[in-house]
Amino acid sequence: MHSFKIQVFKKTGNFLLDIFIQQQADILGLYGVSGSGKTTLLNCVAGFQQPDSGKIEIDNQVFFDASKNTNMLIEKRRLGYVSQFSTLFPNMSVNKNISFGFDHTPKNERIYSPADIISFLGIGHLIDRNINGLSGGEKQLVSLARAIASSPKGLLLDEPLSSLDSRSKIGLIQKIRLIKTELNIPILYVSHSPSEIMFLCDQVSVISKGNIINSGKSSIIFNYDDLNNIDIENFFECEVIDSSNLKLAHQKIFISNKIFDTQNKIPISLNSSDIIVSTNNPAGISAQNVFYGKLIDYFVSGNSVLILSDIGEEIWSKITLDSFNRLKLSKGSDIYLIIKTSNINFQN
Amino acid sequence: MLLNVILLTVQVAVVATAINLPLSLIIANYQDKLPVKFKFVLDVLISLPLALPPVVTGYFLLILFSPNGFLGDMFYSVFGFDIVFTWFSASIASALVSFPLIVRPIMLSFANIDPNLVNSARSLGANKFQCFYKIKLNLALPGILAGIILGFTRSLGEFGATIMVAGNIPGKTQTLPLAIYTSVQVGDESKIYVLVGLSIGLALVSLSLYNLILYRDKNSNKNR
Repeated sequence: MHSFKIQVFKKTGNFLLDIFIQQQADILGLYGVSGSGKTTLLNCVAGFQQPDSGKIEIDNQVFFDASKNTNMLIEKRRLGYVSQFSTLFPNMSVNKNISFGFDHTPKNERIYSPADIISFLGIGHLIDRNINGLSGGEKQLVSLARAIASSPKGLLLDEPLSSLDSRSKIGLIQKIRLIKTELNIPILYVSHSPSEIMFLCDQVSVISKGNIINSGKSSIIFNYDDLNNIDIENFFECEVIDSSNLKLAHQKIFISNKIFDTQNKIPISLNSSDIIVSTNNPAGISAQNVFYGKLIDYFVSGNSVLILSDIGEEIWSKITLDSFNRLKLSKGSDIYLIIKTSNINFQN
Repeated sequence: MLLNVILLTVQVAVVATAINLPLSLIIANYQDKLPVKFKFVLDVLISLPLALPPVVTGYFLLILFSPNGFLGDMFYSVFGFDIVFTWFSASIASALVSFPLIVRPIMLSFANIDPNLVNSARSLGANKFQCFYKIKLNLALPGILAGIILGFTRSLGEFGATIMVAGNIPGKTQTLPLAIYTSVQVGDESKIYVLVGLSIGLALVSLSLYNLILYRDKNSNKNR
């Protein structure tokens, strides 16, 4: 858990930003509609804009304190920044972009090498590419890699998913969760999407018209009425075993007869609502694909529960609250996921 | 004789461009930090040499750099010789007249740099100077090259201000346009044709380079 203490007072024209946040979280969400002041707040934390008064402190590191005339330079704050629009340097390759942060980090403060980050985020295939040739999702992944390569004291993510398609969104969400669990970097995540906040942030502050109007655990703050309408598409790249079988998370997944070029990986997707959840290895069922895994996390809202499981790959499934209670599921539960062949969607 | 004129013309233009370039880069880099009123005054001052007849610019330079002038006196006390009627004074005249042409494209290309790129670079640990030479200079390069070529080309053809402050001394301050003027005065037609041809050739090469840079920049922007 990381501590976020942010007190910012800033007047810009007729808009007044008057914020007080004091929360403990791995990822602190900042939720608000457009124009509520959340990006201005993030800019103040990053040092791009200067508050009129207040104090900004993350994990006992003071970045700004008006009462003591402390205003750390942007480059001294070392807060990795990723916005919704690509800020990758167009005059450099992917590799050079990622190395930029590393090269400008004092040697004694370097924690992650570019090679570590590239391997960690699985973007080795992109490193020699030109920035202009990357998709939106790839650009955001490279931006994240570049920010982490500077061994930041925190990550500031300003709606990093908002310009991505649903497939890229899920991919990036999984990477951000990975950063949260593996790297222990405090993250301030700004979004106008309740579902993004719910998937990623343990704590949230809700900002409206320049003020914090609510704060606390995200699952409590957001009683998601709209969760019933959320379906997550799980995307995977599967190796071809033969015309009837693919390999997913080191296991076979049976498909109805389709002829594939065995040289290529096949992109498939599985809708979270199409996956049946069981606590026992089922026998005597028609479905041929049963995956064993562990329940990592879950989100309850209304009558629905979104479950994140690890079957060798992270996969989302969605069941009713009644089923969730009946199966007595919790974090770490053994779980079997049943997938009907007809529910496997082929992307090409 | 002809070679001497060409070399002197190029020398004057190179030095004039070298004087203007650092000043242009500084103004372009700090333009967004200036208060609006000051920026307005600066814009007018930058454009002034375009609106003034070069002879007027040359006249002011002559007053400033003459042995009794403020800068001329200072120059003499530091370097021990008068600056007027030297090739260097021709460079200063060319620099002043060509300044708007070099600074404008550079200011425009700096203004087009996304400030978020610079902020990102700083959040990654680069200081202001590193941001300037690693990010801004690279991104503004087409504009900088275009400015250099435009300014250099204008310096090659500078006449009015140069003749006022540097005179028209063969072998010392006589550049290509001044040599053409002298040839016309004495009616040396064969020399006129050669000099005019050279002048046109230099201008064509410079402007072709300029257009090539603009074309390539436009294409690379399309691909972004």
